[in-house]
Amino acid sequence: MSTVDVGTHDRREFIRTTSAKSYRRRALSSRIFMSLLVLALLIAFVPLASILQNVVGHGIHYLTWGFLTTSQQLPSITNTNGIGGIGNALAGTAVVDLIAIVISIPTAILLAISMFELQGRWVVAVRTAMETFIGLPSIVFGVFTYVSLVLTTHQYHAYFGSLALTFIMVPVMTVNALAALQSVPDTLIEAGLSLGLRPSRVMLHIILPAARARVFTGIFLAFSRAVGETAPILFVIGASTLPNFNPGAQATSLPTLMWSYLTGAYPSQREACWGIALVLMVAVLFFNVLSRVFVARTQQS
Amino acid sequence: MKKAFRMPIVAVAASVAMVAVGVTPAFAKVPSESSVLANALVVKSTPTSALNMGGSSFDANLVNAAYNQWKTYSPNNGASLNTYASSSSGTGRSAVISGADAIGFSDVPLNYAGQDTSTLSNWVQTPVALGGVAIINNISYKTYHQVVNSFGKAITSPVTSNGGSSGQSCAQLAKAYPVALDGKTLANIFAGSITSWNSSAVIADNPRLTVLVKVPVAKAIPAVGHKGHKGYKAGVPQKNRLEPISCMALTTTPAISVESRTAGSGTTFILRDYLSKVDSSEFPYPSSAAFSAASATFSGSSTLAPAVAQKDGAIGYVEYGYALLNHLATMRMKNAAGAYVSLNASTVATAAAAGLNAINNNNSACPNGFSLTKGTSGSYSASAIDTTCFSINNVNNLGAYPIAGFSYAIVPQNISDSKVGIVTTKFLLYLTQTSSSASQPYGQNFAGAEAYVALPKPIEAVAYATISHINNGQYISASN
Amino acid sequence: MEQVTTENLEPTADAGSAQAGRERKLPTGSDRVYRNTLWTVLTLVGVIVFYFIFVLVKNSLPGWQYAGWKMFTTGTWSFGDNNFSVWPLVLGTVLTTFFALLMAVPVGVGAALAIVYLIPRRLRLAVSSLIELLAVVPSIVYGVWGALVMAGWLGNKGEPWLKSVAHGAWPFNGATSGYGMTLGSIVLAVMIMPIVTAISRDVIVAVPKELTEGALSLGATRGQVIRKVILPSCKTGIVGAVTLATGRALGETIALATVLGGVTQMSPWPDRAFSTGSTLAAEIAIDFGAITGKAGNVLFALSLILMLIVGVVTYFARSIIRRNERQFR
Repeated sequence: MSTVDVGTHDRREFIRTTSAKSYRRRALSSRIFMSLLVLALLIAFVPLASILQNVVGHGIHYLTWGFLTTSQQLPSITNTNGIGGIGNALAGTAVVDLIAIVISIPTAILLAISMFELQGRWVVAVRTAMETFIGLPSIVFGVFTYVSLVLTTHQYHAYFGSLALTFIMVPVMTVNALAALQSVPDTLIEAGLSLGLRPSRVMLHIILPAARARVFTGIFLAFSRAVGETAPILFVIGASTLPNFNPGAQATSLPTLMWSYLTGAYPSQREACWGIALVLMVAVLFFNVLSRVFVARTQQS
Repeated sequence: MKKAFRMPIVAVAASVAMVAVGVTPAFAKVPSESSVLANALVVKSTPTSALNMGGSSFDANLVNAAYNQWKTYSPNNGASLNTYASSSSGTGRSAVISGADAIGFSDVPLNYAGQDTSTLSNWVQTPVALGGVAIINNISYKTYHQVVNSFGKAITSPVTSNGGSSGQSCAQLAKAYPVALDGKTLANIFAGSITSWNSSAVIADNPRLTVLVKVPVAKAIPAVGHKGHKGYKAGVPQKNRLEPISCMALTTTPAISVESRTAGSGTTFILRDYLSKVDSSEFPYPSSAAFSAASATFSGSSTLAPAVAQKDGAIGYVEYGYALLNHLATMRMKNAAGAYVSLNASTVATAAAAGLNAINNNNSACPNGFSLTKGTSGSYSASAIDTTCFSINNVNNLGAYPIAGFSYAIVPQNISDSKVGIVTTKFLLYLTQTSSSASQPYGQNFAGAEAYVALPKPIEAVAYATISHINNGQYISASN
Repeated sequence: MEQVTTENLEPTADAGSAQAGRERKLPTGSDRVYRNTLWTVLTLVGVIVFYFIFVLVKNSLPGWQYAGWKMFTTGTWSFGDNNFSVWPLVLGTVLTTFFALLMAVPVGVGAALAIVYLIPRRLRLAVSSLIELLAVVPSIVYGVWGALVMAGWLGNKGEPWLKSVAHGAWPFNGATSGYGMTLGSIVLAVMIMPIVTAISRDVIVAVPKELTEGALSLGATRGQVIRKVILPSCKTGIVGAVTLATGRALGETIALATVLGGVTQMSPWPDRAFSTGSTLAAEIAIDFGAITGKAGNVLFALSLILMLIVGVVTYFARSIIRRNERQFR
């Protein structure tokens, strides 16, 4: 743009018109860009809508007391709709997940406390391992459990699945709990120490209660993930059409039942996958919402 | 020999042979029904043991139906069975070898699959099911619309003589005469040398699948001379010719898409055993490896069948029940006697009867008659696959369907846990016998409805004898 | 599958940083029982971690031996026929992940920007929670949705449309099937998109207001502000999000196992958009039944490869995110 020797008035006029022109162009491209953003948001919702619509639409009529409490039946050509219910899978899921939680929570909390209190290279190593484990594919833990437990004992047990799930849950819980402990204000801790309390007392009576909400967040987060996991437990818990609360027996859980029904020979089995998916999603959502409730509580305090 | 005499003579010979087989001392006698009933129906002890079974998809329907009935005879029966995990024969064998399952079902006898971790004497293998392998296909035919002018110039494509569309009549024809294949043609398809439905070999196997199609001629016969002059002959418009065209040339998707099972499938083993008998150059020996010419492989018959149902031009192979479940057309196969037969209960039963007859007559190779092992003991390697004494493929009998086989249950010979032993033995006994009373059916009574064929009586006797070997018969007579 | 918020990505303090270096670290000699218990727990867990690595490595060794160097040459993967070239699987993994990222990252970042700048603040939590709902859906439900809904739609409508748009040119040529690499990429994209959205949203929100206001006062339009100011300053965070999403996509097992067509014999490799295929993780799940045979050890070798790849990628993701978070403290 060559300099134009014009008076002040013309110069202002010139600047006004040229910047107005470029502004129109830039405003147009900005508008296009913003509508692309809206488009991206809408695209992001489409699969969600599809999944929810299908799961709820196809699955809702499976939410009957009969379906939820009857055990799985075996269909055959003369009995193509005789698939029964998911009572055995609910029982199996409960057993596997409850035992997993009972093992994981104390382990995770103790581990977080130890990483908080102690120092050294070993601490750093274990913490790095926990953070890495969060991102590992869950099938790897299934393979590990299979190799170390199933191949050696030549048996399947429900609690093998629990052990596999602790590998999934403990890292998540630990990392969250550690962050929770570290977020407790120093003033609280120093107050406790200055009162002459031993470190274990400080932890037990001051730090843990203060970090409680955040620790619960991690616990429910981990649990909601573990409830939906298929790969780690698929090859170690066996299968069972009996509603069995014995952890030493084989078990079927909701995700493994879905896996076998998805490739089942009968259309009634493939249809039932939606019902099981709905039940599973309700359970997973329940714990996920719980974890968010605790996040909100954390942010309040 | 005149054709008219061939069939009855064969039938008479077969029945004589079957009677002879029945009295051969090599087979144990099946005890009276009432004692089998008493032994097999009821498990009295509580708490019972969990019984985990799994393996070949071949047996799934039969085992499920039998279990559902067995469960009702006694509350303890219901408490004792867990589930049938339908996967593949290979998985069934490894599950029972590793001890994870109490019974493994496999269409491939143990040690014909290179299982190098066991020796035969530790295992008991009994036939439990008999069925045919359906060659399923999904072929649709193009429909043609007609517009042809008087000079034979086609506006679009040909039309059939009866005025309908050729596609429609091809579908009708195929319903009346299902697509048929020769064994060699089938072998070439699964080897990948024949890749389209309109190849000459397939057309040659289906002479009845022909429609007459109106083919427009290239041009009219021109006029001779000039109009108004002497010797003028007007041009003659050529009528459209009617030409026979094979329906196989009118398929919507001419390319054959082979769908195979993954490795370890017993259904594949039975099919490959048949292919090795009709085309030993391309298939030298039976195995359960997947077919390399396949466009996709599936881990179970339950996923292969729907895949064929959804893919135009596909060909696959499943146990007969899965073809019925998915409403799939099954092919007619040419058997060793030269007849084209469809797959149904009677053709499979004929195959079994004639096949067993042939085995029993083969004194040199099969001194013990029907047997899953050659010789008396020892372990076998994968290269020593010899199916002579249990294969009923490619039977030389006019009424026999050529691709059929047995499926087997494998259990440890020595079951230490008596609860597991009782439940295992009793269920296997129930599964392998037929009862004459409709009100109290045994396992094999369900065979017909579940698209199997009930085990022939001699085989039921073999099964009984084999099951008696479990812990030397300790559990068979246990009254628990 | 993890619920992704920054809660579980909070950078933990290093030993020796200001937070941890405060006086309250256990002084030696005090509360010995407490201290010993904690060391026991820590040591036990460490031992278990080592045992985990050891078992996987040890059991994969016979697999390396059995398959030999042929594992890393190009060829066919056919488990039952003892063809163990991993290239088809590696290619399948890389291709599905790549195309999933190609679809998910623009949509994810765009959605995050829309949430921060276009949605009223009151609704922001609700909208972003809805999108993060996608991250909560279990993999097996994705498998069911992919196999029962998307496969049919893709096979009947989506892929033929793609084929006609491209006039049958590569890679949109050949038979359409529904199941296959396209479906796998789409399902993966849906699974990783919420991760990208969630982390991007947190990073975008953390951009200092001064930068935005300064640019606006200079006369820039909103689009320019976002493109030239916000996005460059969020670059590290978004890269971290993408790396995390990549780690997730590389390791996805169950959803892909049901949706890629269950093919265990790939020869030579997926060469069209509509071909079927398999990935490292899905292959392990599909072949698991054969794991007791000699060839089963090869699957352990695959697990090791998978673990290494994903572990390295995830480690980098976390260090990038950690670095990015510290930037804004």
